[in-house]
Amino acid sequence: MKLDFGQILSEAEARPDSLAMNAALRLLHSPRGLQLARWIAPLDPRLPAHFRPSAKFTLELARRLYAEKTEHVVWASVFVPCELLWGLGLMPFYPEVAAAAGAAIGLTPRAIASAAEAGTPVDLCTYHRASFGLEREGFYPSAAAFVSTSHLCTLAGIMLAAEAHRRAKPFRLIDVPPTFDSDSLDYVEAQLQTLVSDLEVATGARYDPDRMREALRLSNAARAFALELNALRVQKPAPLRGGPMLTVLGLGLWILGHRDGVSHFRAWRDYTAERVERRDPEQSNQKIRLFWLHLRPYGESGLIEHLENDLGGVIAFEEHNTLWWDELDEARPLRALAAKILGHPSNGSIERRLAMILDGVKRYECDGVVHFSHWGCRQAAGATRVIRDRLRREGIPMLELDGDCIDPANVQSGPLRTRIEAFVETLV
Amino acid sequence: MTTKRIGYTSPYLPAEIIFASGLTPVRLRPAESLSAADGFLPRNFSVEARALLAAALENGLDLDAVVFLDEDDTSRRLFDVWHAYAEIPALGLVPLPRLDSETACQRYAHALVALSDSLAALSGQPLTADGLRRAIDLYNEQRCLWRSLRQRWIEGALSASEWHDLRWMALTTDPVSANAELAARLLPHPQPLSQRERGEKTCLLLLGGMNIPRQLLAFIESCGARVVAEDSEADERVVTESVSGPDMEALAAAYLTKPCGPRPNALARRLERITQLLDERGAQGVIAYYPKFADAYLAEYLVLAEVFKARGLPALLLEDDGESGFSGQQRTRLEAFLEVLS
Ligand code: SF4
Repeated sequence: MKLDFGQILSEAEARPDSLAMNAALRLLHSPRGLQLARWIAPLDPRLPAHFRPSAKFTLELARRLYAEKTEHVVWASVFVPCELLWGLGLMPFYPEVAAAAGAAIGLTPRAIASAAEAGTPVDLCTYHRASFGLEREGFYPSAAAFVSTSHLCTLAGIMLAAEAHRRAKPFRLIDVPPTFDSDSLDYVEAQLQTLVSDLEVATGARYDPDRMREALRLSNAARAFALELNALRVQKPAPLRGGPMLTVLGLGLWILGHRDGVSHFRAWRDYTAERVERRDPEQSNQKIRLFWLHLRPYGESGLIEHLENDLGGVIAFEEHNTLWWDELDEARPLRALAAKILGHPSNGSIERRLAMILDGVKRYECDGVVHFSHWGCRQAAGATRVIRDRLRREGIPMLELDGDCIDPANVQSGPLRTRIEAFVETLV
Repeated sequence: MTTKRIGYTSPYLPAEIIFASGLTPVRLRPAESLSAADGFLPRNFSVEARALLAAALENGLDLDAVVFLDEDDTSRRLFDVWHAYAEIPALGLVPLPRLDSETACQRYAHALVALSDSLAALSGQPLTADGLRRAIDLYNEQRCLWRSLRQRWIEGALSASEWHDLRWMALTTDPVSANAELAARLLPHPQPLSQRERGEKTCLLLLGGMNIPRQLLAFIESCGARVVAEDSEADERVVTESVSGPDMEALAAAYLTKPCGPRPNALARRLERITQLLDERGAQGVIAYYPKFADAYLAEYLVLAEVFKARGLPALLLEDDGESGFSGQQRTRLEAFLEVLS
């Protein structure tokens, strides 16, 4: 039987509990299936050129995660830089990003039901609940070790530590202080050194300084293209739709430090430059420009499409596509990665995040800000009142949308559409 | 002369530093009402944090400043909102290491020195080595008294409500007065329960957050059961072993290595501690009374529940929504649970 990965995924979306779902599951665990899919998907002529590197990367990643060298897989929270793991010759697996991918193909109901069956409290963030369910259902790969950071997403640390405990595998926490100074840099760098040794023991990988430097070089090369891409997005009309960019960003967390990261960001830079040059924006109806905070619903909700297509709101830029770190110093890779971790705009009090938002609104000349407050995300949604009031003082209106990135059943599309419409009306 | 009162929320903050700076440390306890926090913190935010903020916004706290630690997502966002809207000033976000390595302890000691500068600015009394030593001695004395009184409670010579009130008195009063009161409670030697009387009551381990409400403890006793260990931030997770040195390093190390709550890097240590409590106190069942929307507790409970199940220990999870008090529905569930156990 010829395996059509695209067909399997689209069928899975329509019938989550169908045979197709089971076929997808089997495919994930079949080396030959994944190898085949890897060759087929990027060659599909329907696939636009700027999606090919990421398609190739994703399929290759899936093959390696599920079918090859599984002892080299390390589960990490999204704030652990993937360069570190690629640089060690390991394969990062980010359960939260995988949960978003699962939501996009309709796996959430099954995942959430499975998590509930195991007693997972309903008030926890659905990224983690769905991850727990997907793991129970066999969608997630095996792991040799687990790593998290302490500065953002407390829940990720607890969930990963618990999973490590269940599997009797090591868990390591990178303790990240809220202050960015040379003492904090020393502290995090020293922990990364220890982590490297621990991962060597856990996975059998060996630290090769050249390979680590190469990962940083690749990350820097990708970052340079991403900076150009971000600069192009300053243009009016906005060349890209923000909705899809909120999906693409998940990959950015995973692909930096991998050779496909360079081609991925180069392809997006080229594509965007071409659009700018032709004055042919992806979204033709652009009445107001928005800066988007946090994430979006990844299942079917039609919200963003309504904003973009019907109301003429264009998401000019997204906070999570901000490149907050400096070029990584290839001569001191672990220190450079420590700086990347410490410098995250949401580390510590809200002040740094506020500064990043104000910069972004100014740079992308946005008329307003939308904060999508994902149910259960204390770190992102906990201080939206402070953000809103600060923006108001600067004359920038903000709309807060309460919803769920992962669970479509927790997105009240009707009331949210009304709120978006009212907000856009006040801005036009 | 009355000294200024400094609130703090975390059991990781050494009260010694506040006292040695000429101020009165006051551990904050979530209030009963949340409504004043509506519109400031999301409705699905930890009810303990919302209750604390609500009390501050309603001016229900007689405090001159509050110290926050960078402990988790909840404490960071509570700090942000408090800092922006509450009248009582927040004294920064103290970097609390989430590890207990030697380096982490040194870092914490430095952070505490920096905090003492802010405290000195409030009191006009800089922290001195002598002052710190005296404060550590006073709190060590308190720890001794605490352990003795806890033992009395375990033996049934103090009721759970009495023990609750004594602990909160100590956590919210200056150590000189608190020690005097605790010592006075040690003087009479009430009869402990006999072995037979103890054997008749179901022994429970109670898991909780910042505080377990007094009425819950009283209700459990009224049902003929006994709480023999309270793993909360107001009992087992308070530093009750003596601090071994006279300086900031010793203090930082004692607080970072104290029995911990749910923390990612300390799951094994936490499981060991809970298992030890179960074994030493002979618990026959477990009640987890957790604040709603407190992620760390709820997520960790998944693992704890597996441990209890493996030991054949019945366990009940009750979530405190912060609004309905210890509700009728919770009473019914608790009664049914205790009936099964008895
Ligand atoms: S949405 Fe928030 S709580 Fe959920 S995984 Fe992301 S950071 Fe963590």
